[in-house]
Amino acid sequence: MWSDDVTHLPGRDAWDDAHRALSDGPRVRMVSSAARMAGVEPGMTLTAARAAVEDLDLRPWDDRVIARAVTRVTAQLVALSPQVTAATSAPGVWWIGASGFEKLGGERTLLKRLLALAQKYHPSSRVASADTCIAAHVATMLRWPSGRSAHLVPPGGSARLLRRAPLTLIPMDDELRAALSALGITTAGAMAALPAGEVERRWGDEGLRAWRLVQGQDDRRPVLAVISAAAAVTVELPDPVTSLEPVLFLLTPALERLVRDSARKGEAIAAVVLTLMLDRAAPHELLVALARPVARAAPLFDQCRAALEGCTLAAAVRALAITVREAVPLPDEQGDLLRATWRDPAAMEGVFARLRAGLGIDAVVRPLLRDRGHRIEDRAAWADAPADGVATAPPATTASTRLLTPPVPVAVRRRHGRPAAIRWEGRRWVVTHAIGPEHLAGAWWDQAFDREYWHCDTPRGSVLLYHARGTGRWWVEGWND
Amino acid sequence: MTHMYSELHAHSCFSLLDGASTPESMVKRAEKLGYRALALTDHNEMGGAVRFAEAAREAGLAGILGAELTVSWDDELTHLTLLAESREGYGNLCQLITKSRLGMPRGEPAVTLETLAAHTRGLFALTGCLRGRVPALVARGEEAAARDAAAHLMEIFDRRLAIECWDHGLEEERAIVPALHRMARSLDVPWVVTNDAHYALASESRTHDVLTALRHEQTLGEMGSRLRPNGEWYLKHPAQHARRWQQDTAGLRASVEIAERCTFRLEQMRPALPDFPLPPGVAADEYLGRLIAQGARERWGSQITEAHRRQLVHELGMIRRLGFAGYFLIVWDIVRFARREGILCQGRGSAANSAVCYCLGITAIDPVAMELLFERFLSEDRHEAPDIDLDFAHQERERVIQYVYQRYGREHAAMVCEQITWRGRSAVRDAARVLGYSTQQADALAEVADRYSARETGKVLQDGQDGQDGRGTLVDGQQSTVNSQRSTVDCQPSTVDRIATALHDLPRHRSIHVGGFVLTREPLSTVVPIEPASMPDRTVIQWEKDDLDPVGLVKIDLLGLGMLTALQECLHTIRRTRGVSLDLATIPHGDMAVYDDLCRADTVGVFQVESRAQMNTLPRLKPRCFYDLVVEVALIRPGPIQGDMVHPYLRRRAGKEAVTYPHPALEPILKRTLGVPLFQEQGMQVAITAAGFTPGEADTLRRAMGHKRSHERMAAICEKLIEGMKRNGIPEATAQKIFNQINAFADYGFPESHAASFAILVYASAYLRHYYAPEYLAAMLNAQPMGFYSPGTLTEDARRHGVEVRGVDLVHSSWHSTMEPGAQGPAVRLGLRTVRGLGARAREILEVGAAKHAYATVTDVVHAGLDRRTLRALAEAGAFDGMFPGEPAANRRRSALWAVLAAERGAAGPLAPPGESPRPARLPPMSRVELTEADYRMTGLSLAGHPMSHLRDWLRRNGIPTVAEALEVASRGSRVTGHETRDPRPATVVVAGLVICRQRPHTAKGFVFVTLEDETGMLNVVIPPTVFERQRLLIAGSPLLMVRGELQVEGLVVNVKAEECEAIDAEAGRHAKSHDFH
Repeated sequence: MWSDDVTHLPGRDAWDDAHRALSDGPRVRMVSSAARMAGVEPGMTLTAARAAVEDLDLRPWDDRVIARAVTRVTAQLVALSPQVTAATSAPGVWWIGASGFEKLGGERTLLKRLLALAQKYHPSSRVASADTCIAAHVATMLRWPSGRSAHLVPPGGSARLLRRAPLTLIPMDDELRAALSALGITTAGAMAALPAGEVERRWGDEGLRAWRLVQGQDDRRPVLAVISAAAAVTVELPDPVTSLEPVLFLLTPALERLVRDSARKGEAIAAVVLTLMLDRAAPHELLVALARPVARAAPLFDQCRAALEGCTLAAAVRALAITVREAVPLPDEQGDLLRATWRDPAAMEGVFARLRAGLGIDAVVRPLLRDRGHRIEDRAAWADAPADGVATAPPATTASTRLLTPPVPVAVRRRHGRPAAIRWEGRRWVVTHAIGPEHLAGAWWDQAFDREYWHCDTPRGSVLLYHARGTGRWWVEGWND
Repeated sequence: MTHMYSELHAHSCFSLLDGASTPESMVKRAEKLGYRALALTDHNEMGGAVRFAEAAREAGLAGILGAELTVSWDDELTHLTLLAESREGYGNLCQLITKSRLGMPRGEPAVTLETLAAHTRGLFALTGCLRGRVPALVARGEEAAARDAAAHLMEIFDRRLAIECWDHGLEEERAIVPALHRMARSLDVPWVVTNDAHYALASESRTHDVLTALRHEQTLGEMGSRLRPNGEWYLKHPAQHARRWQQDTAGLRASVEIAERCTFRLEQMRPALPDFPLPPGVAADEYLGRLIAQGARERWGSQITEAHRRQLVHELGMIRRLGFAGYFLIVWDIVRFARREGILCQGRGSAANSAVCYCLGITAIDPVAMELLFERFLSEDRHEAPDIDLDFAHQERERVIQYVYQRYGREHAAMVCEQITWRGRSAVRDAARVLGYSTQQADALAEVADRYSARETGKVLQDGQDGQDGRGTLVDGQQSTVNSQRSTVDCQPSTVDRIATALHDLPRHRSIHVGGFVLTREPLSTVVPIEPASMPDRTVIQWEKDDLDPVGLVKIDLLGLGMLTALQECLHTIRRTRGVSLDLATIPHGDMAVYDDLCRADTVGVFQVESRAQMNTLPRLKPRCFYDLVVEVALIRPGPIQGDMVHPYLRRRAGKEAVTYPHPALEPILKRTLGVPLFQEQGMQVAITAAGFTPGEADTLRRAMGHKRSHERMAAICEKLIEGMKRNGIPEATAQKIFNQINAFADYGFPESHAASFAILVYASAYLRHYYAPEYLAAMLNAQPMGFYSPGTLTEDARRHGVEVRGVDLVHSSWHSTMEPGAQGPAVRLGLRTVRGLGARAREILEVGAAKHAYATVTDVVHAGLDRRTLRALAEAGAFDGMFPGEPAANRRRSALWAVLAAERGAAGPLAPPGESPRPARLPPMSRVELTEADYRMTGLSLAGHPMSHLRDWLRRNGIPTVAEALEVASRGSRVTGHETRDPRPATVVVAGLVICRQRPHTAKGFVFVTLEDETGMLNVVIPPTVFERQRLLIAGSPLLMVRGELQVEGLVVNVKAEECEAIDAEAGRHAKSHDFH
């Protein structure tokens, strides 16, 4: 199923959306060709970059934009080859399976089509085809005398191609790279000429890994990107693994995504299939059926984990796909969330899931104490409710202040400087007792305030007033239970 | 009514990061509000006491000294306000603060209740702020416990206690005040109102917020309720207090009554110096007289004249009348210790005006021979202690410092502190930090802050924002930089401006003064609190140098001077390797070969005269005698430069301008400087001679013109000077001209005595460099960091002078650079310390190993315990080369690194064969360029060739001459014209070199000076402001530069005035470091 031939398509500063993603906070993450020619390099500080190009167009790095663009390009590439993998460490780089195209015009035709497609996104895109990922990658990075943007490395030609490649193109540990540079070893060929034992003796596994790459020995292969209407998530591991831990690490977000997608459709998950794609071996499937449909990732994860722990595999795992086998409608009971006696976790979970799916992830919140200042509204906030359980409210105190958000303007009549009566929404409230003033001021660097607070008892209850010293206006901020 | 209230609890900015106003502004505000008294109660701190006391005295305000002490009470840190009623109380307070600082970890001062109880005499206590033990217990509802705590305080303070109450408009305070009142009544002690002020004005609460955020290392937005809830902690009008406490005014009356009890003022204190141990029955004056008599015989022998005797009698008389004999004996003792220990030392500054100091061996200049004015050093009119500055070989100074501690005891000796205040950069960075900007944004804003005070920086940023152009402080193009930096930062600079301005002049942290020591007879901790310094084995007082004079504390400056270290080592090496015994006094004087070097400005590495500006002056001044060196040292100073005295002097010296005097009466004073006043003493002598000032008045004039000028004092003294000159028949216009001339340089120039002290070192260093160049180079390298030039430039210069320099080699090198027999005389072997980035641990290992010659193979070194980074650095620096004698030189470093990498990972197992890894067949040899690049990267210097030498072929093909060739062209032009004047037809040249120095002096109106170096020499480039602004980044950042410009020749002085610069991109020069914008 997997091809020995891979095509590498780099468009480092390729597509339009990603082009805006130039900087990550204070440092430049990616640069356009024009900026690069003017001396801007990835990793530069913004100050240094601006110093190099006065009118530099800086755009904030946006992972969502990048991900969207990658997905869009991936989808286009899948039309040309069934094996497409977006390189996670380098946006704008794809590994594409290139075997089995003999009847479709061969690799050259594929390269042409890929290049034509890529050049829609960036005119300087380059593609190369080779036996190994490393050779394909190097082939796209080398400057060819003919100036071609597509290059086909003949079968068995990887080692030869790599021989003259600069060592900077070979991925390796920085310390190893620096040591090799100090030794005058600057090309992959020079490193390949070192005896493997001597390399291992000095740099251990890391050295050997790099040494294998310069020899043209690269185990990496593109995987199949599944574009399907079925609820499924496919996750590729950076390297084949033989332990469960990295698989579980990737399983959690994948399940969360599935649960979220299902909830959006008003469904709870009843069964999933885990497909473990193995290195040079047939995929291994596991069915996980739940006793009760769920709209939370945690119980699903526990079941999947138990299933994975119980299986023995013939080879290392390269990728993991999770597909929803069975889904049922979510319970539609609304429930009274404010009624303390209402205690149906499953129903509440369903309600929360549907609220989140319909109104957005921030729709369900819980109260949280915080310290943003001395004002009463600075002392608490609404926070995201835990996605996998019912929020626990802070213990109620005997005297709680209910806040009005925003505060309501009122007219206040004073006597001897103290509030005597309040006119609020057309009604007059007589103040029988007033405690204050308490002076609170601050936040001058942001939205300054300067207030005098009064706790006022009225026949209709106790209200919290404040007098804004800057404007002279009065506001009701809340009432006391 | 306005006198009904005195503030007894107030913090200044010396409550570091918790007080937002200077002591002076607190006093000013209190005076304006009509307070009779104000107490300064900083947190465990008396750092602002002198400034506060001085300001209060001048304002006629009762300045009460106190502190808010942190007391550890039942394992809880609580606050207690203490006020000094008497001298004894003040001493106790200082001791309590000292104990709180010395007995606790740095930054966490506190005393125990037992310690407090032992030092309460003379102190009045207030129960403190909400963090006080008593109010804190009340707030927790433990009223009975609070009453017990108050009763305990009442007992240990013998009823000198008041219950402190406050109102900052907060519920939690108002809730406990009634309980505090009840407690005061039940204990029968007063309750007193304070405002616990932390700033003078309400508007400064914002500064306090900023400081609080800095203290917590958080942004303002993250601080939450850790900031104070409002801005009520300011010095309030008594009427405000009266309004608040109108129901019961007892607390206000108590504030006045307590203030009246506290009668101690700082000026009542007169600490004395420790008694110098004297022979039985001999007084200090007598003993000093004996030493002077002996010293005079040693110094002058039979040459002693009546003038010498008269001077000594004059000085000794004044010393006796002022009671300073003990001080001179103490300084003499320190110098005697240094000499005994072989530590090179020399007095500098105005002490060299004293014949007594000369006879005691403290200074090396004969003030009688040089006709130096003693009153510049010591004056009866000044009522101040003398100030003697001693320079020691800087690597040995710590021994001297520890000797002083040991000799007088840590109870009586400590170093002076330095309050580090916010400057432009730090203010902008901290402002950006508390506002939550990124480090990069802060850096971008800070770039405009260089050289400015915090306030000026605020103005510069504000101007940029308002779109106004420079205020005179900005040089051409600077405004565009401000705006450019502003555009880089997406922030609200106006907030940054305001914060930066608010931080102006506030202390940020405390550091140790460069060398100031104070000694007292009484325990020093009863005079001023002492605290541990950041350096081990050092203690500092909480006062800085300007605080000492008002309280009569005497300071001795024990300074470190790198050149003395270099000279000391050079003299030792010469003695050891050549058997020639020299010292500073026996170096042959008047050697014309040495003066020839100086005339040629061949002075790289020579003390004081190696800078670009000095090198430009030397060929014009052409020094031929010692006094010329004195002039040379004094000439290139801000004073003479700003006073426009340099060129007139040089023109007169060259005979191009007639020597004239403002008035014939001034000829004797100004004759030796050709009618141009250069020294501070000359200014004073002019006042004495022309205006009839006494020596003391003349010194007052000098001080009035000093750094901290007061307009009122200046106006008064100007009038007096001009009046005096008019009385002596000098026309007013001439008098005004003379005044202007003196005024122009006054305190910014050197005293003649100081210049003379330095001139001794100039000559000594030039002499040793001329005759003992290898030893001198080794000594200079070992004394690093010091001086003007990098080790690379020093080495290049020495090699051009024929010194053989050998590379770092683990087989042959010691930690320091050493001497080896060379082909033609001694050769310098670079020390292992030359390799960059070797840490303290590496030094420890290598120093011992190299001394034992323990390194013969790579395995020896690897097994010594060095880490991988160090081993790699040594290999890349070529330190293993000696272990690969069979290899071609170009292969050795890589072979070494290959072997090191293998050996460093250890053997494969217990049965693995011993020995080094076989060398791989195909490690490429290093090219010369690679060798140079590696040398500069690892050591900052190269013996494999100057970076420019690798570009020579390319440069030659493009017609670019070497520096030597450019100088030759210049010299030919000069010879052709036959003058030592500027060639009327300046040639355009292109020169290229490694940038070894960049300067942009304040005095140069935006001109930038760059020194280029190649394998043949050095050349100065002058870059006009327009060129610099156009190519700012290129000029400021490129290690190798090519410059096209006009060749300017004036005698032996050659400069290129740049028109266009271009960076040269060459690997070999990438790691060279320039001495930039110091």
